[in-house]
Amino acid sequence: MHQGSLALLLHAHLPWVRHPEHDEFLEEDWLFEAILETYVPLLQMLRRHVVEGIPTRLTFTMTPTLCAMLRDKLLQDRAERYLNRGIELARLEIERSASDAALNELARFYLDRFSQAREFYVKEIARDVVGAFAQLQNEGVVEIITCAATHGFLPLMEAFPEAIRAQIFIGCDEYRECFGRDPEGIWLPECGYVPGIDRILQEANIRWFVVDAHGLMYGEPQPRFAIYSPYFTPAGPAVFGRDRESSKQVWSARDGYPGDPAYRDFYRDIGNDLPEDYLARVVPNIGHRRNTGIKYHRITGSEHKELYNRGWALGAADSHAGDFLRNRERQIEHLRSILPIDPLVLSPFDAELFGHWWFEGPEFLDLFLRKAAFDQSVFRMTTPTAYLAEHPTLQMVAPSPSSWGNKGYWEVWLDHCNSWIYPHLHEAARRMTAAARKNQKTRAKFTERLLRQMARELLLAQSSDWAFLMKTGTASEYATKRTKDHILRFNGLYDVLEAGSKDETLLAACEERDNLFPHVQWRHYL
Amino acid sequence: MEALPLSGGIRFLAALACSLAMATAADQPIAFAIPETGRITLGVFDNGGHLVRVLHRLAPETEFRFGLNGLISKWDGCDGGGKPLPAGRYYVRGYLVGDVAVSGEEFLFNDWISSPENPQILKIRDFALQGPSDVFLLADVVGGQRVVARYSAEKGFMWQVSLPASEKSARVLLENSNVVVTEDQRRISFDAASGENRGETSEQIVASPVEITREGTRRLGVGDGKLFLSEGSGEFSAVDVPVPVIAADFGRENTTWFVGRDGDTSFVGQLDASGQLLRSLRPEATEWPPVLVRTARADDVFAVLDESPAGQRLRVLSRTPENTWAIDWARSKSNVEEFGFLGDRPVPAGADAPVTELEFRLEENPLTGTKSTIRLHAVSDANGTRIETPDGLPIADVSSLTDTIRTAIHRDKEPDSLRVLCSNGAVVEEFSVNGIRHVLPIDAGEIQLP
Repeated sequence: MHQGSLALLLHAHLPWVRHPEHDEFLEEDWLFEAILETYVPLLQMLRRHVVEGIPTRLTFTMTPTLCAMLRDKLLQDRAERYLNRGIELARLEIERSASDAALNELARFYLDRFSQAREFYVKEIARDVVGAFAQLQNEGVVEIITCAATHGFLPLMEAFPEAIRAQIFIGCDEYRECFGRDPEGIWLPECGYVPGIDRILQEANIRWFVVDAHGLMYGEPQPRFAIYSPYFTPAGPAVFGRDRESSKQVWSARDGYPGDPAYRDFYRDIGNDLPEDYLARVVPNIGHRRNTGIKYHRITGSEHKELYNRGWALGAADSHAGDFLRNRERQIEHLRSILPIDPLVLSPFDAELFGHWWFEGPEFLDLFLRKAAFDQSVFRMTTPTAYLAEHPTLQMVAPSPSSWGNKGYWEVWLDHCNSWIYPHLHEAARRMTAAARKNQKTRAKFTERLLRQMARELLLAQSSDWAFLMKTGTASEYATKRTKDHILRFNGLYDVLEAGSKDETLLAACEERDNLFPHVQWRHYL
Repeated sequence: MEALPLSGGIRFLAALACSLAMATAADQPIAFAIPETGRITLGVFDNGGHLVRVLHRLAPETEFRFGLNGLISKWDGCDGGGKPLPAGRYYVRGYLVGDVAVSGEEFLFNDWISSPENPQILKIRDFALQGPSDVFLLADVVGGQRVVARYSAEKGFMWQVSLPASEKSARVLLENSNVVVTEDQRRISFDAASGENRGETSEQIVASPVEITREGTRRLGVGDGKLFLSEGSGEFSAVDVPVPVIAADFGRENTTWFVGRDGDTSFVGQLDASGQLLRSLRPEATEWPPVLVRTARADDVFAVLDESPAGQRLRVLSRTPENTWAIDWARSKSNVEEFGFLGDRPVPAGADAPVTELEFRLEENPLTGTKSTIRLHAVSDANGTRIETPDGLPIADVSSLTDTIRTAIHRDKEPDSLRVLCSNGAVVEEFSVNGIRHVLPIDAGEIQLP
């Protein structure tokens, strides 16, 4: 008899980055690296579990922007090009390292890895990552939930509930478009919650969402079972609390598993180490050094990096999977001893941690899921939806405002470096709603196109990623430009609408460039 | 990535600011949106468009509180002097100053100055020469002070000591390891190597001839246009020089260098031990005439200070193997009361008619596509020199040089750049201000002061 349940939730998200106006674009590599290093390995792992009959239960968020990119033909072509280049570069590396047996073995490892990934991506799933995940959902291995349309940070839209509503409803629309069913749950971007969101979720027929632990613990009334049970919000949807203990073991920069010296070092990429002329034989020089995905060193634990040893790394992954398992067993045994319920531990992670940032993450996950299935009987793997189905009676708690950002509230996304964006985002949201209301009965195709594109530009400007990147200083120039570009385009389209002009120039250019959510419903802004 | 074309600009920021900042009483918050990050200049204007208060002067965003409604400031209803202003409607506007770069280009028309720390020499009163490369200067500097300083041709200023202003005649002498400034009956000694004050003594000074220098028991004096020599403890006796003498110094092998007046001009001459003229070095007609000569006793080196209404020049000359005299190094200082631009070129005098204001096209607002222009001029006061709009909002601090007597601006080759000249009378500093297009207007709305 199990003493409790564990739900792992992997949040797969990337902001919309698509630049048809450039043949090569550095930031598009974010998607291609994630396909190679995270999505393909996780799909391969989950498919093996289906074949081997392993009773795996995982929850995934596939955000609407990520799905839109994964389904976009231009980006699919470029992802395939990226994999082909990896194969070509690995072949060059095999030649270059002919006199160094250890390095040569690693080069061959990468050739095999790129080749397998290409084979899987192009032939087995016909470049349809979203479809492959949908198939796994249909087979009951994973549950996929939705997210706000462009990962907008909802608490900072509180003054414009129509904007929150549109983010959520369009997120649900896109989910239906991709997965052919209604989403049961939603991942609120950055776990950002303010009272009132629960009402919009209820309206969108969402059954559950997640907040950070303090969002529940400071809830009203105090939750009886802390974060180890879901609760119903006053508006209806259930709320789950994020378990920090299990997260810390994986996330912590200092103590987390991914920092083990045996694991592959993320930063030592041959794209930064080798001469540009050599690399340009395969990867065109775009004026920036770019990662190739070929990394020969392990973290080592010192400035001097030693060569990666795959065997050692897999040994560490096995050891960490066992450790994570034992800790969950102990945690759930302890919870069961003090709580009169079937305790649930919900551990959310960014999906891209597994494989992209932590190269051996998929192997860790594979080993953990196998051990959880066969080597213990303390807990069972579940999903929030399944847990709710078995526990229909819950305490009612109104969660408090919270996020999973630094210090638990909004300061990552509202800071001196990024606060300038909000008056403009709010004014655009106000204009969007005003324009939608003014034209709600329109049947004019041009007006409909304008309003759809205005919605796309506003949604894209609202991505929490831009404020986050401005705050962290990573790609902040790009993030700033993206914010400005989308607001500029929104305002230009608004001007066209207000002027009653039929000028196609701007609209057509925006439609060509920002072509996500083809059927976006602008009336959600009413 | 290029911006997409826009149809028609709108006053997005203005509308936004009005909706954000309808404060109705003094000391109420002013919230305003900025279209990107940068430094912020913000002022309050009255109904007549006059600037009544600068609220923020090129302030970084970190000086502001911030919120979802933008950056937050406040106004206490007073003008810049702290005086409460009458009730009425006031307007808050300013500029977001982005990547506008100010770079110091050059110190012009005064070779003595290569950094703001150097003595701001207006006029050299006297000097002494040590070897071929070092001089000790006694000079008037900006601020009504005088300075005694050691200058090396290779290393620049080694030390400088300020002295109180004085109208009295003073000289600087090199005596052994000391530099001595004499004035009236005072003798102030400084260590020649470090500038350390070695104390002050008094000495009876003969009114005329004025003793210029001494070497052992020999003394040299100049007075009433004549040159005087004294050997041992004897009295001064006049040396027969066919022209009036205005300055002199001992040279090597008992020779004497002097500056003689010849009609409207002057020249440098050298006498042998018997008083015979060995050589005379006459300036070209276009050159500034010499007024002082000083020698380095141990070397065949002497220095001449030339002077004209246009400025001063100090030349150090040495004997060449061909037995001629060549300039080793020279430093000049032009009078700059009427500096400006002649075409593209800064000149100390004879400039084109000054430009008072320049207009620049600004880059379009990145969020609305709105295009605008800005007019700028240069202003100097006790805080230095800056570029301002005609209504008094600062856009870029240019120079921290105080005592500025004059500025000039000129459009640079780049379309969004200008050059600024400013001077304290000693030197003209040249600055480039680039990237002016990265300035964006901010409209922070209105305030109804009760």
